[in-house]
Formats: sequence, structure tokens, C-alpha cells
Amino acid sequence: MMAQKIGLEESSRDEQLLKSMQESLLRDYPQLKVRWSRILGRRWSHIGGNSCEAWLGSRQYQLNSEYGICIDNADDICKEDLESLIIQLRENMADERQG
Amino acid sequence: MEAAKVKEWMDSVVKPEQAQKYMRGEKDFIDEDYIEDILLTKIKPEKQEIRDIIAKAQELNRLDPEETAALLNCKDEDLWQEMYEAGLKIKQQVYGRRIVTFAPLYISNLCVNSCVYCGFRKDNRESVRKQLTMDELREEVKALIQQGHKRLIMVYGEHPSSDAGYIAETLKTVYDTKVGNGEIRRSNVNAAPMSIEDLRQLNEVGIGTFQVFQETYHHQTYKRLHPKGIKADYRWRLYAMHRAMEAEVDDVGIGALFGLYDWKFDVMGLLMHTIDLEKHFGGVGPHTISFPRMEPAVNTPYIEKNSYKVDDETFKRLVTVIRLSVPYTGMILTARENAAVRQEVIQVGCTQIDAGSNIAIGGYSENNPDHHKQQFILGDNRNLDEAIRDMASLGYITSFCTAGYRAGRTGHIFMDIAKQGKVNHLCMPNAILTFKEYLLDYASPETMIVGEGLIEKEMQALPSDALREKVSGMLKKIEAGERDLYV
Repeated sequence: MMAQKIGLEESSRDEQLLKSMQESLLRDYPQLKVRWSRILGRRWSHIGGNSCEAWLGSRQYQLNSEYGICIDNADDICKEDLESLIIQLRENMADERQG
Repeated sequence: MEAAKVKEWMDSVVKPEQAQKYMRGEKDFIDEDYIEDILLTKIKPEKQEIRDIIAKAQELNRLDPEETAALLNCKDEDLWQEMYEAGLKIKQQVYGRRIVTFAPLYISNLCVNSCVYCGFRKDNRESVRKQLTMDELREEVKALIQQGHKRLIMVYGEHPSSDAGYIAETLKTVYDTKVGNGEIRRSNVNAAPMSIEDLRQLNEVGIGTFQVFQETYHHQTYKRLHPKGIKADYRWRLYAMHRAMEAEVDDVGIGALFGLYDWKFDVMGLLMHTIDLEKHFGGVGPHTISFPRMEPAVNTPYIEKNSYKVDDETFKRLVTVIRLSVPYTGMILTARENAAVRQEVIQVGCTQIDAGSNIAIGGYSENNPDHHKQQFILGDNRNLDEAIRDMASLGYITSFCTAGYRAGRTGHIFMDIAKQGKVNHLCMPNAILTFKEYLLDYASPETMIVGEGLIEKEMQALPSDALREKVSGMLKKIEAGERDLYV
């Protein structure tokens, strides 16, 4: 699912982390449609995910200075779960930076 | 800059291994014998064959080369009318009744090349050479922001003083410049072909689309028209977009300059280019296709004497065939064309135009279209407000939307949405929102009246009550002073 981007097989450590975070996220919320982006200035450049539809309820969250996630059907989970999910993803990315 | 240093730089630009990587042995993807053969084989297409091809395009399928060749050879006026109507339908289905609008911003006309048709060619002594400093660039950007622009295509000559490092710096400068509520939200780049390493530099600073036009796909003609300089290397240019995709600049724009060679051949070239990109990059072809026609330029006699000029009717036809051949790709119609031609050709499927354009370097802040600082002479000199009002009278909402690129809808995500005909679902709400911003911040009273009427009409046409309610709430926030809202 994640490997839709050119050259993802040779992807960076960060992208491997995103891949494992996606697996874990979809174990808990299999209904979610997500897209990961690398943040390049104003550009959020798509790097993978399990969604390729045009969703109107999409919400985007910056995880750290380099990566972000767009959740295309964020309304499909409750607000509290969504908030804790984003906090967890941000912590994971921060841990990775420190590690 | 010293000639020896320029020469040294020129010798370092082309990376032969990067130029050859996607070739099939000694051959590139422009097989002239094949193109000429199918153009001959399909010289008299049957009516039903044309109608079947139109139907295939209307299902948003990319055409095969034989099918495009058949359309190019059609001589039946009734069928052309059907093709014009199909082009518009496809555009409306995929992209909606909206026109994305941008401004060209010429940054530098120093150039090491000698393209015989170009006003910027190295040996054109009548061309006044200029490269913007960052301070001058900021003034240009401020002038554009004050017109209401949100999207740019930044244009550079090929020269060591405008290398990838300089281009990256100009991109950062553009994004950092703000005037009140206004800012440039997406900067596309039209520049010379680069190495993968140089393209990565541009990607790091948030380039929008990277555009390189092949000019003509015909090898011998290309060689004759580009006798010297780096641009003489046909294949370095031909594979520029492959390198851009490899550098993860996943929105790329291709184009041909019509009037250099046989128009049918160059339409086929654009299709072959699309097919080769799709083949190598998981179905992702060009984000946009451009089809400029050659226009007069200062001290450039070649333009007057060449025999491949494309008349207005042929131009409309070639644009239509491109629309049908690649139904899901954005198509850019520039202000090279005069207003009457643009009003006509927009109706066969174009998705983007420039407006309020000034292509003299430093021309926006000086408010002076100096022809000696221009690559060619513009045909449409309407200001942005007039162009927007004219678009509105045709029923098109002007969109300054840049949401896709800032919400991860790039590369194959954008292309998948386009191929499903669903760009419209996201982009019409965003068109309404950005149009509202324009009306509040920059529009003349006349345009405000026409524009508000159009917004009301498009709100009614949104596909669901839930969406209408959501957009309506966002419009209220914009009226209250918020900016840059998108779905």
C-alpha cells in the first residue's frame, strides 16, 4: 500500500518509520484513508499511503518539520481518538529525531 | 562573467549517463519512422472510427498514437465540431467550469544558447540583457501580489548566473514576500533541463511544476534550429522530465512550440512524451501540456520566413486533439495568443491561462512592456481584472487554487484523481474560495458584481448540500477576514 512512490524501496529511514507507523495505525483504525507527505517549503509532496480518492473531509497535520499526514476520512473516527492519534504520531517522529 | 568560466560551466551541465538512462539502446522514444508511418496509414479515417475515438476520450482514456493520428487527419467539418464539443465536455467533467490563472515572471534573459527563433538567443545584440537581483525580484512579486496573483511561472534563460542555486534562491524569495493579505502560494519554474542533483535543490525549496518544452520533437529540425549551446543536445532536453520525476519533482510540464515544424508531428511528439513518462513512472505523465505558437520577437527574422506557421483554425484543432488524446492532463493556453483566439480556444478544453501578463524582465514593477527585454511579443494585453471579467462572462470561474500541491495531492495522487474525473470535486470548492478572496481584496466594482453572481451560481451547482454548507461556512470566514482556506 505504501510502496506507490517511485524509489520507495530505497527510501530513507524516515520513510521506513512512516511505513511502520501506517501499519500500526491501520491495525487500530483499519477504515482510515491516509496519505503521507514530505514537506518541501510550501509543497506537501506525496510519498505514500493507502488513499488515492478525492475526499472532501481531508485534514492535514504536520508531524515534524519534514513530514506530514493527510487523513482523508478523519470524520470516521471520534475527535478524541483523532487527537490522541496525532499526538502519538508526532511523538514517534520526535523520538526518531532524538534517536 | 568571463567567457572561459561560462564555457567551463557549459561543459559541466550535461550528465551523459543521466541523459541515456531511459533510452532504449541508441534510440529515444521519438521514433520518427513510426510517427510518419501512422500519420500516413491513418490519412483517411472513417467517420465511425473518429466517433469511436471521441467516445474513448470521453471515458477519460488516453488515446493510442494511431487514434491520435486519425484525429489529426480528420477532414470532416462536422466531426471537428463534434471533437470541439467533446473537448469542452471532457474539460468540464474533469476540471469543471473553472480556469486556473497565473502570471509569468521572467527573471533572467542571459542565455548561452542560439535558438534561431528566440529573442533571448545569445547573439541577438538588440536584446537588452537583465537578471533580477533579489531586491528587484521582491518588487516584481509585490506588484504581482497587488494585482491579486497567487500562482507564478518563473522563467529563466540558461546561463551560469541563473543556475539551480540562483533559481532556488529566487523561489525562496518569492515565497517569503508578502503584501497585506496577499502572497504567492505556488511558483512553477520554466527553465533549462537540469541534472537530477540540481532538480533536487529546487524540490527542497518547494518548486511547483517544473516545465521544459521540447520546442519540436523532430530531430533534424531541432538540430537546425538549435545550432549551438547546451540546448543543441536534443536528448538532454528530451529526458529532462524523466530526471525531474526521478528527483521527486512529481509535477512536470511538457510543451512544444508550434510553428517550428509540422504541427501534426509535434502533437504526436507530445503524446509519445506522455506515454513514455507514464511507462516509466507508474502511470504518471505530465501535470500540464503547453502548446505555445511562435510569435514575433525583436530582431528575429526567422519567424517571418518560416513555412510551418500555424493558422488560428489549425491551432484550435491541434489543441482539441491534445485535449482528446490526454483527457486528464492540465492544458495551458498563454497570453501569446490574442484575446479573441483565447476566448475561442479556451472552449475546447484548456484548464489554465496566464493573465495580466508582462514578460519584460522587471516589467511588472516598472509597469512597462519593453519589447527589447522580452522573449517574444504578447498577443493578449488585458489586465487581470478584465481577463477575469471576460472569463466570467463565458461562465468560467477564475481559480487561484493551490491546495492540491499544499495538501499532498501531487504526482500519482493528483493523476489518479484526474483519471477518475474527480479533480472537479475538490477544485471547484477551492476555486470558489480563492475567487472570493480575489473579489474582496482586488476586484474592480464591475468584476465584483459579475463575480458574486458567478459564485452564487456555482454554489448552487455543487454536488451536495453538505458540501454547499461547508463551502458557505468557509465563505463567511473569508468575508470576516480569514484567508487561504481550502478543502
